[in-house]
Amino acid sequence: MNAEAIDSARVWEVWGKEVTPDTRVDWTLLDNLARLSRWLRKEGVDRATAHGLIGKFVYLYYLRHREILSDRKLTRWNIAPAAVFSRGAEAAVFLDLVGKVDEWLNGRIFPLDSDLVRGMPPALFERLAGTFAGDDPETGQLHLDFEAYDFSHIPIEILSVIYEQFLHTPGEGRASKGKPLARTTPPSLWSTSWSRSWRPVDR
Amino acid sequence: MAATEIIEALGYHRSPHFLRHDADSFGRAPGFGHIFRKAKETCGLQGVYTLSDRPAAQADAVVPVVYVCAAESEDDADAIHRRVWNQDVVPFLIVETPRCVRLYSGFRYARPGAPSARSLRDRGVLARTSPSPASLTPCKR
Repeated sequence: MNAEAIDSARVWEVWGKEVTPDTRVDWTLLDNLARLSRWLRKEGVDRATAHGLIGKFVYLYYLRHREILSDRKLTRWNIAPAAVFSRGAEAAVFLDLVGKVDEWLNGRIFPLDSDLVRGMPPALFERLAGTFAGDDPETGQLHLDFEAYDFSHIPIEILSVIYEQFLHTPGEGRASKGKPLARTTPPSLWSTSWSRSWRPVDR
Repeated sequence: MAATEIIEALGYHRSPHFLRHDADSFGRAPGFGHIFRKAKETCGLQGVYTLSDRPAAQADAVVPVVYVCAAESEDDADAIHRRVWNQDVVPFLIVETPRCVRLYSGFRYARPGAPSARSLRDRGVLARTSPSPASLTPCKR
């Protein structure tokens, strides 16, 4: 890992196999969201609602981790953080927050039918919210581990990748048949591909 | 071993491709300035070894290869690893603590205790020194 090994690209011969793209945060997150979608659909939630819910939760966690949705802001809106960001979440409070955020930020991202969310069994909604808070929706089977994610550090571009590749897939989603979602190469991967093929220039 | 010693031991201090946190060079790194500044605030980032076609501080584009960070403890080092994995910009992370030095993969992470973290390697810990470091020892799978 010394300077000469990096400049000569020798470092990749030793450690290159340890930095594969499938364990990067963007691929891992997309894979976890796809598995969460399959779980929701198995529980009887239709595809559009499942994807809308997942998208909204990711979006709200982005705002929360980046302190845009601060405690102060939530208090002003009379919303208890635990009523959205914990396993004790309530659909009505979640929808209230979504409405306030849409109005505040003057836009909507990840469309969602509020009536269908209200019609979900409360226990199912709690399990979904708990998953984002770090619980495993089916202990011992999914191992989604959302606690690993820190949306204050995850590049904002991943939101658009989620939207394009996961939530905006028309018709029956590829994720619904148990297959991995199609993925294009995120911009962040270009640099690694380039660096691996790169050789030092004369100085 | 202090972070400055690691930087010298690896020959980074002599390289024009190494961006130091104390030289205002992070702000001039094209495309990465805000990311490096964030890592300086939250990850104890001391410097970044890059690939570039000219001295990193003057380059039109850089590719980060190694973060060198300082931590108070091994738990802090793991927390830094989590944040760097979430940043998704650098393949290797070296963290110095008062007891040891760890080499992490910046592109692999599993929480200690998570079902997928059966070994240090699964968690993205590639190598580490003993409390009296001589050299980095690869972790077993």
